[in-house]
Amino acid sequence: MTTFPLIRTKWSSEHIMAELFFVLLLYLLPGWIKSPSSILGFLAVLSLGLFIDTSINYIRYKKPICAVSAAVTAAILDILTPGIPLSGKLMGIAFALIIGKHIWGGTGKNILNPGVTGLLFVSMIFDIKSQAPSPTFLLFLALLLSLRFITFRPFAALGIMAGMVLALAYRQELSLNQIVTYGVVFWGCILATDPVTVTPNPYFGLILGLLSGLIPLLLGDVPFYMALGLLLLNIASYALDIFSVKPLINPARYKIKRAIPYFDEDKSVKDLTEQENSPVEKSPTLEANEILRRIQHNGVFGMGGGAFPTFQKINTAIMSNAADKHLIINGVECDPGLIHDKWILKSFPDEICKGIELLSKCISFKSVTIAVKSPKGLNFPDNLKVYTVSDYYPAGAEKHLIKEVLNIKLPYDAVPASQGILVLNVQTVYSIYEAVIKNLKINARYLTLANIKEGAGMVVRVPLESRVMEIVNSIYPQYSFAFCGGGVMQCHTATEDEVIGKNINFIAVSDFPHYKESYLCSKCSFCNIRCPEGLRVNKIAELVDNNELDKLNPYHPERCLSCGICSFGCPAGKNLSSRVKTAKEYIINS
Amino acid sequence: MIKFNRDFFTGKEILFIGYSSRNNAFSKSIYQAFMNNGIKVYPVNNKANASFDIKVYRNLGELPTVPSCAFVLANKNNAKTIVNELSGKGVKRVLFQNSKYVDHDIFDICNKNGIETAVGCPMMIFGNGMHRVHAFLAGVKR
Repeated sequence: MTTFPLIRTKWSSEHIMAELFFVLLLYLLPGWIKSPSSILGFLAVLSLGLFIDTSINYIRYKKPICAVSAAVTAAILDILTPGIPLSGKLMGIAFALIIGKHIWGGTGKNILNPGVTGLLFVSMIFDIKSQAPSPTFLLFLALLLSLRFITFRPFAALGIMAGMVLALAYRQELSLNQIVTYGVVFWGCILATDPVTVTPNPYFGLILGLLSGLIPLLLGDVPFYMALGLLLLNIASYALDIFSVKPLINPARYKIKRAIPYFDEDKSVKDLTEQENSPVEKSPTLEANEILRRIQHNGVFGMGGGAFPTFQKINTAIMSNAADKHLIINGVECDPGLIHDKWILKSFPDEICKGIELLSKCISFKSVTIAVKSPKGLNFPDNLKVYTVSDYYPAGAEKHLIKEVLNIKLPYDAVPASQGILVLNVQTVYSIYEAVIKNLKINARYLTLANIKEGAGMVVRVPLESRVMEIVNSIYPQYSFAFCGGGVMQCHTATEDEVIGKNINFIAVSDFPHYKESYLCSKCSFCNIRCPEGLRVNKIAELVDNNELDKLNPYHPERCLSCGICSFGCPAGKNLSSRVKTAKEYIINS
Repeated sequence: MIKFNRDFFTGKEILFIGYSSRNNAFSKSIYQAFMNNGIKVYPVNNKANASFDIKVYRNLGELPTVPSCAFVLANKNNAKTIVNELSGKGVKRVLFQNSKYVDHDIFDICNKNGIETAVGCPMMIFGNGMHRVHAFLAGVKR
């Protein structure tokens, strides 16, 4: 079943392009004030651009497609070709959109920047004096807002700006006025940050950007050289993109705002199990064998979402030849929709300590650590190490947690327990306490029940195998459908007869998230940069969409953690994680 | 034929005949628009090989309950069979996606069987952006 995050970024590719278009209008504004009739010329170029783009897209997709990118191209061309006849501009926009964009397959598939392609064409026919708008204080806001786009391709942008500044310094023309005159900010922040045509690779981006900013200005100050330089950068970026298959080594860490807030009152806790949580009068003294037998017999399983039998996991750690063994209690709760793990840590410190004590009877640990995002409100004895992990998503993923807490980097296919590192979810440790001390079968669990619309959540204790919709209707009777899964980032639509399985620790009522599944991937690479495993998500998704599954092997989709962060942040509104899941299943099955 | 507006969906449940996997994004957007507005949807598609993310019923017999309102997004050639079947199950209101999916014979059959009909895209009622413009141009009150 397809899983998806219930929450999504508010930004779409069209929003970003619309914002860019607004900034470009600010660049045009001084010219319009000086010569109001030039507005008509711009409107003519814009109209032709929109007509060409809309028509070709309609022929290609058989439906209307947003043409804001064509408006951006028209504005870029109008800014870079001042003083040429309108006919030249009209030829330029037609050339830019047909040869620079649609001949390659349309938005997101072009290898050349359409605006710069149009500029190159026009500069071969007409004598263009300037490669940027004339400096005036009216440009201040445009220059300032341009800086926002640097985030898309920071290295290439910095490279080209540094290259241009170096060239100006070499020519002994370096001044603030000349920086604006030569359009250093415009070329760096607007043209070199086009995610479709410029590489996201930091090293190559910086070097290629530097060269494409430096050499053209050393050759001369005509826009032809600048355009040629940037188009060569585009071609080099395309070549790099073809050969980039390996996962990124140091993917960025990304924090996601919580979907529901934490709470402190016990009134937000509900027990639907009708089981009494009776206190234990006296803890029995048990040997390791009996502890393990009770863990196995009472069916303790991984409550973090893995649902793996805990007995097997502990047994693997016991059998491990590792000299030093470690226990990490995972209370990180990195998913922005979960609240029950922290509640358990706050509410049952004695039970968790007892669980740790039981585990320590089975395995002699060198270190025992409780990993949390924030130790605030926790009440554990001083001899127990509480480690505060960095606040990013997914900090709670097993191998990420090990790297963070123990500074041990395990290969993606390594089993931590076989390396002597036992990572257990906090509720699993609580279950060990119940299974061993109370000798209870584990047939219920705590989970988070969230109302995403209202930003509210509660902790509920539910019997396993109870129906999801019955639980939802007991709290939120007005909702006829719900979502469930491992967290707000990994949900699926709950079916009518869906029951609480071992891997469900989150239920939510919410509107369907808006995945518009746009055709127009802008290759922003947010999916690649944010993927905690550094996977080339956009490439994997493209291969899945094109049904070229046999080409997936070098991209290692099997390393996917199913965290859903790629779907969360995709401005094209694609549910990328479902595509990577398809790829992962294909690789594992083949 | 009655005027299409929000009141058409007073039953809070609707049958979605012709929930398509071929045109999944469109079907899904309509499905989600209904659900997000508190209308429970029972999608139906008789294609055995259709692959869906949500529970889709193969025929009306599989349904746990038959709502009194239906939305039809199916081929015009199948409309007569669909309408007769819906009538047999006690459906009282049928909304057709647009005039391409229905002709006057079908309206006559519906009239004879006491079924109220309307033509219009549900997104005009529940959608935003261009759907609002579409509703305005079509004179549909949201």
